[in-house]
Amino acid sequence: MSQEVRRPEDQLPLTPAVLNILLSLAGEERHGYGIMQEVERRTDGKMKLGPGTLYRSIKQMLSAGLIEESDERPDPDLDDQRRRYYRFTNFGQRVATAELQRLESIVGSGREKGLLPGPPRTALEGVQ
Amino acid sequence: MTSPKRPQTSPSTSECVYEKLLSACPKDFREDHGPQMAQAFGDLCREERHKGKSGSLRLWSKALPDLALTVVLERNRSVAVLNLQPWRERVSGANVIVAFMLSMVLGIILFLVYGILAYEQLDYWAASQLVPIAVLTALYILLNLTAILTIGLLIRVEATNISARSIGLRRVSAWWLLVGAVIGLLCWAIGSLAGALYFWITGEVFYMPLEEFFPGLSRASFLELAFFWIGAGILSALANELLFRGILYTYLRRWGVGVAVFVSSVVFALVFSGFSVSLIAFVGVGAVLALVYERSGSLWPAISCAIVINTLGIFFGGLVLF
Repeated sequence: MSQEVRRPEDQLPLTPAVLNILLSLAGEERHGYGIMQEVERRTDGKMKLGPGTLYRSIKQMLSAGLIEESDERPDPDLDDQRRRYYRFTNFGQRVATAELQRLESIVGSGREKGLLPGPPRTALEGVQ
Repeated sequence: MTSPKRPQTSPSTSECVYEKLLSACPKDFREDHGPQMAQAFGDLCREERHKGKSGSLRLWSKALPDLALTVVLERNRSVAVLNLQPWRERVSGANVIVAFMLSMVLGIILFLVYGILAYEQLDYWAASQLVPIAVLTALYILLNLTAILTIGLLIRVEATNISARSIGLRRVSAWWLLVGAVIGLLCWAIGSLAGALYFWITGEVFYMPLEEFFPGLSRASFLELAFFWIGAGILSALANELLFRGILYTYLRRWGVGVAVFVSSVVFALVFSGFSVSLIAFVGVGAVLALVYERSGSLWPAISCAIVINTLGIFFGGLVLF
């Protein structure tokens, strides 16, 4: 749509819903319900995305170019209904990484200040 | 490894209801994602059934707020989709709140002052007798000026995204001003007639006589009356149209003309007539003013309409919009 160069930094900060959707799409394409299940499982039930919140975020992410639609096919583990699968784009991957780096540096500051146990940030540099 | 495919059961009642509720979402969103939302909801239903407990209530207690929030947020965002003319930029909810709150501040102070006076005198009528009509008019002018200046300030402040044009202050042909005035005449005539009819049938007063709120008005000199007409008639019309039509109606417009007309008229009526029998008349007039704004695309015909109503009401009695 827009011809300007998109910078990942411009998308930050991400809402928790968007970040979690990106995380759940890492390495695997999923359909909406699959994303809901994965997020709930990964956060131990602390984050439950409702259909409305999920698709609202998906719509935002589609127009921002963070994710794209893959294809429609049935999920073998569920039933015969065709479901729309999503995967993240290159840009989406870069945005997710940028956001995680941002969060990591904040966590590092927290460790430096003694608010969070664990090695301070400088010890983590060089670890990818 | 693959588990046997479960047979596809027909959609449950919950799923059918959910699909119907989806129609509240804006059209674009519904076309893009509606079927998938319904599908995801169906999956959640099946999940609940599988867990054995009849978790229908629990599911709905989460799904309903989730859907309601989605409808509100998506509609709030879909301003451009709702056929607005290009010059109607977005008026935010914050603009509405600030405009009303700051404008009402002086009204509240006025109310408190009156309350204190009335308490001491143990009589509202006696309290208002203490204040000469000129002072009452001045206070009223101040109230309306606060409203107008507040909105003027909102337009000047860079951080807000409203401009004079976006709240309806757009040039319009003299024809429309005339139309507004004629509609004002009709509104006043019909409204006052309805009030008189009500009085004739029930013997109860429909519109509070002006004398009761502004004692001394009937005995006012020409100068005092002119002063009153400018303050209560003209400035009041300006302030009201800016607040209720310019800001509130334009903000509500994203939910459709019906919602915008209804809500802005009801708020308008509650402020001016409270929970009394004349509420209906004010809702009607409020709706007419909102529609004049909508059809003409400008606030000026609505202002002209309101000025005519107030002028006729001050000099001949009956319906007034303040």
